[in-house]
Amino acid sequence: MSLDSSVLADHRHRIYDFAVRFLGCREDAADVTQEVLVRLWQRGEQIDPARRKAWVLKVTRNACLDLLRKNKTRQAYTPATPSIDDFAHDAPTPDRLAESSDFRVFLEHAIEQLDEPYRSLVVLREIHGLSYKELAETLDLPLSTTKVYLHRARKRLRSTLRQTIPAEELTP
Amino acid sequence: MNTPLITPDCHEVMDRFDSYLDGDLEPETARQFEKHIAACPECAAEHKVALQMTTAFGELELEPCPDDVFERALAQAQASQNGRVDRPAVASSPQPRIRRWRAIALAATILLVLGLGSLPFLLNSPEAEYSAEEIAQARQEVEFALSLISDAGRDAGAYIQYEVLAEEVVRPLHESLNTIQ
Ligand SMILES: [Zn+2]
Repeated sequence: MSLDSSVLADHRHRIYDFAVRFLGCREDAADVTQEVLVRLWQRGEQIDPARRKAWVLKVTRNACLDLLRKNKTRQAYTPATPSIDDFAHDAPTPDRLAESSDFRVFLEHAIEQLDEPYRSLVVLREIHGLSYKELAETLDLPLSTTKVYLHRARKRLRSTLRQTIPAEELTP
Repeated sequence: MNTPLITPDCHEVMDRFDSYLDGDLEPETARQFEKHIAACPECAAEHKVALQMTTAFGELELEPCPDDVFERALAQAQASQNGRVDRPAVASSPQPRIRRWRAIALAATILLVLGLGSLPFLLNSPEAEYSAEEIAQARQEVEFALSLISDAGRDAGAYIQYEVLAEEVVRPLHESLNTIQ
């Protein structure tokens, strides 16, 4: 027996988003998404629904790692560190909202520059909303290590952001 | 005087930002934390970034999976399922030939070992004249051989499926025996 296709629909954005952030390439992310959805369809029913999210993300992360080993995509993909000038054209009106959206862009780039497993931890916790327990399960880490790593990852993000964003651009 | 002054207290504060923001610090520790931030520009700047980061995380959204990617995946998943259902039928032509050959070879070997060389002749000549005693004797021997084949078939399960053996060897032998009675 296979899962209902609605379960696949429920997980598709999660898989694709994680793969895009991990691989930095939408084409590769599409391949990974397809592969993971097929596996979810075939095996998902054997997974406890409460643990399915962690299972899906673990399978997705492993598929991304496999693809990187095969393609070395990550080497080809080197995110450029943005400067505030890069956004001057996109945000001609320097109102509060534009500043806040700029911060988001800087944050996304700062996340991209994190090494593994810090990047996965931040993405899964802050964007995908996983609990510490789910994080530990997804990344095969002890719970205590998961928390320590996540704190370290956030500290690195703050440091990167403080180096990239001029102090006056930060909201008081 | 523009160089930020980072004290050992700063390191402790920066290491515990997440605990502070999560409200995990003891009230007294949190109070000292706030006191330090109020007096230290370096940690105040860190605090500002931390707060803004928390807000921005809440605003980040999942990049949606394009419809065509999902539709392709769904089609592939359904095709893989059909493939699994069809596989036994598709594979049934070449595989059982091997199984059948093995089963017959096994049966022939057992018959040979048991000295039942006359059996094929007996089976191939149903109209020949045999005494009731000879037929009863042959039947006993064949049934004994068949029971051995069945056991051997089960033991050799990795190679020969018992059902195949029953279908390909045991039943034809029984039918042959019935025709000569
Ligand atoms: Zn300080």
